Amino acid sequence: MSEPVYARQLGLVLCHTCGHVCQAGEHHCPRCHSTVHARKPDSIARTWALLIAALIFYIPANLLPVMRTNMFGNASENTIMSGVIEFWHGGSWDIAVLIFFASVVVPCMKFLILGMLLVTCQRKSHWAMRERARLYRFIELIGYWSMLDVLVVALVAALVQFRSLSSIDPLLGIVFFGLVVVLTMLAAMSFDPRLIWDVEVEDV
Amino acid sequence: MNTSSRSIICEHCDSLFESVALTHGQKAECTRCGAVLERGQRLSIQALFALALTAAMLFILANAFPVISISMEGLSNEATLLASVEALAQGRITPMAAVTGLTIILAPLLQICLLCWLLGFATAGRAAPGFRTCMRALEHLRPWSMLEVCLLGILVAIIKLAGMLDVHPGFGLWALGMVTVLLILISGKGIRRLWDDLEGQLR
Amino acid sequence: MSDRPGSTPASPAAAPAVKTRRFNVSLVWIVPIIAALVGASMLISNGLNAGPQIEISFETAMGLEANKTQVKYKNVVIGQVTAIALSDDRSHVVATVDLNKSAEGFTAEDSVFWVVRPRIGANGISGVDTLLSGAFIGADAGSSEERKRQFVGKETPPAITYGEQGKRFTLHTEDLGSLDIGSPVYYRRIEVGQVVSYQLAEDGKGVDVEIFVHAPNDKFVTTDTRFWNASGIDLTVGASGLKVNTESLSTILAGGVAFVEPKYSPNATPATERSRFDLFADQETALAPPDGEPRYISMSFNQSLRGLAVNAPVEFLGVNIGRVVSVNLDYDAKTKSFPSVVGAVIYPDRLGKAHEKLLKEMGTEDDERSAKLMSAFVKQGLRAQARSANLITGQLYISLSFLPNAAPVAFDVAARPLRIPTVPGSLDKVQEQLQGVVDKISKLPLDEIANNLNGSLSEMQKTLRQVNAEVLPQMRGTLQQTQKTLAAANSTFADDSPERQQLSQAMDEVQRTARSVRVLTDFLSRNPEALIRGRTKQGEPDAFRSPGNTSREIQPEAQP
Repeated sequence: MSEPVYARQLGLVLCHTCGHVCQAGEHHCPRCHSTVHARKPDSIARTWALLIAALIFYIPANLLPVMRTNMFGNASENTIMSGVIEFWHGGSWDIAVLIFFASVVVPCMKFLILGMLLVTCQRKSHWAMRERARLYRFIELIGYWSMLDVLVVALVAALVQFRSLSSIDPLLGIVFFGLVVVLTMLAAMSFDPRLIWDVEVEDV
Repeated sequence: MNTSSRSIICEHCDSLFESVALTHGQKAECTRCGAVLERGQRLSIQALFALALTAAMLFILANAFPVISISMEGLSNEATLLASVEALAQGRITPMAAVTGLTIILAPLLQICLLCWLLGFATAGRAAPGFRTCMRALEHLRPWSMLEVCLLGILVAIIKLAGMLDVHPGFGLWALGMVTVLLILISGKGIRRLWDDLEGQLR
Repeated sequence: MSDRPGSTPASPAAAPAVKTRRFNVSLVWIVPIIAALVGASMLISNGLNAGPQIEISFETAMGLEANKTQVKYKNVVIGQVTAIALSDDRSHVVATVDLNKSAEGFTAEDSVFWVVRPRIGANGISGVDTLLSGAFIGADAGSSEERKRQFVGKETPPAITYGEQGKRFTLHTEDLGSLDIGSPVYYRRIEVGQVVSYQLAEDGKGVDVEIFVHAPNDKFVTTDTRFWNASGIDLTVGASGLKVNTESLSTILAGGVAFVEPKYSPNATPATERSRFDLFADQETALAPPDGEPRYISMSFNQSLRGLAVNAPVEFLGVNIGRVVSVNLDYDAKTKSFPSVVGAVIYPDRLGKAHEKLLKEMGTEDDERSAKLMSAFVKQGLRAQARSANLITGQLYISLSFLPNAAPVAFDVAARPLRIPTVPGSLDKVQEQLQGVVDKISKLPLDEIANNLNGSLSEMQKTLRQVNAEVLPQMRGTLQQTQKTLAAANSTFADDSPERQQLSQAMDEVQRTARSVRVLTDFLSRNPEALIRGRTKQGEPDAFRSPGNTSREIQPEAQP
């Protein structure tokens, strides 16, 4: 069958909140009364801003220690990577892989993929549009799993509080890391994937 | 002009489709970009409401009882979800406590409350007061509810501490697991069917 | 795929009757019902397990934490602190405690609660495990029937918990010394109790120490038991040498009290609860028989009394009857000298039987009579001397003894304290003897001896020189000769020397000869007629061939 028609070409707009099909000129969705935008406002600019901010915060997030472990007197501070290495050496390689994936691979993939999407959309490229759309859905899916490390630190810090014997305290690195996760999530939410396909519509 | 309520627009590529009735197990995909447009619903409104009530009760239990308890040489400690959030609320790390509190306690709680509210009225065939606000709030809350990550985080914490201490999962953990499953069932995009079901009652 | 709405063809089949259920209740409602039941059961079981709640006030909340600090009795957890708050007037801290259901007995009116923190006290370091786990609240259940909800907690653990059997006694002493609450009480070096409390006596002139002796050892405390302070180490360097005495290691650290009944207590009845006793400073004073009346004497010495300390013993004929109380310098204007004046206190009762007999002679003892007695002694030759107790430490003691050839001295009967005349001590005698030895040595003709020695030594030197010059070379020559001779003999007897070979050849010859002779004698003994007849052809003396038989029968032989 032939390709489906673009809603834009028919003068129809999607309401993101309720899924209702609205007319192009309407500012508010007749069903749910929320604001209707043809495309997410300032999508490219906002996504760039959030992405670059997240990238800047990613450096202290990895350099600053996220957790101080005080076990029977010897205190040690762990960054994310050193925690992964410690797990690996400690024998629990599955946890090491999991945390490495969630804390390092996922944010880096988000940076790369969002960056690539932004660049290709700005250059109005026709390259691999279906694959790019799939990539966008992919990072939308895995985006929030990076919060894993923050939650682990929170749980462990709440549990191991034995004062002089052993205690675990969160450190500043976790703030930056959490900010990176939040900012990348916001960046992914503010990117409009329909921009990928807009190159096919001439009057954009 | 012709606003066919039986049309769907793909939100990833802006293509127009006709809505098709789906049974459960079926899903409608966009032909251009491959995104999922709709899924077939298995559960009735009543079933959804029952599950929402269950989720509410279990959520209270998941927060009242500790999720993990540890012991070492006679010393013991236990943590509820709230205690974990409070553990981050020290000094400059407090912003993370706010974010964590949002994702694992506040967002799921609001979701459950709103769902109970909406589904309760919907079971009776009526639109709840503040229907639009509630539905919009649900849409905004959806990406910020991260109970699955919380579950996985608890598992990782258990494994991390099991090497040095004695770790016992608490009753809160089981309750939390069930809440997660239930929320996945009831808080997806399927709630948008209420728009269709109750459209006549709005205004 | 997008579909066009297909047209449904008209169906020839009949439409079935459709019945909808009245109450459209799906089975899924079982799920929330189960969840509700589970939740309710958890909450109810929590509620049922809750025991009574009480409030305990403490001075400080150090070491206590809400929802963490536990209440323990005999190391079993019976409750937990749920909240800590300041009191309204901020004078103390109120801890709200949730007790277990089984701990109902701890709400009795006379229950006692106290905080167990690490303490370094009389009994050593206690509560060390609280360093790891934080302080906990110790509890002791009371026995009263009344129930109370608010208690005042103690800051230190009570020394004795309820239910301990034993008796309390009060000891009176001058000062507390190193005793403390918890200091042990020993009987024959076994710990039988401890100090429970102490306070100043009412008139402020002493300290009342309350001790508790556990049953069944409390029956050993009798009405005439003597208590003494056994703290620390008793180190006495006295006339009898160095003595170290200590009760136990803990008394060194924490002080202690010991008691024993005197050996000569005839009718001993166990003391009643809260009897009063005196606490003596050490075992000797505790067990000594009562000293009786003291009498004061003073003595004046013309020598240096370096080494005579206060409390040095005063001995009378070897028996310790008192001690020195003061040592001072005095100035005698007449002789322009500084004699030393020693004051001492003596207890005549210590003389025992002698004193009793003297008393009988004198009648009752009173001041005048004893002065008269003393004057009689002095006339007989009683003199005081400062003698050396220990040559190493240089300690002195006062000795009262009768010296037969003492110069007579006037004795003032009315002087108080009684003045006892003195003579120089035995140390002076030693000095005299040493002086005598030195004199003798100086009388020796050391010069002559030295000269003689000198002469002998020079003679010996001359002799040695001679020996060196003459005797030695001759000896050397002799030795060389001997050496040569030995070398020659060596070569003679060496393995490959010709003499040796000759010797061996000669020996061989001799051997052969001997063998021949032997053969001959053998032959002859067998054939004695050979001597006459000569050898036959057959019999060769070399070969020991028997001619067939060895009998001596004459055999017919072919005779030439």
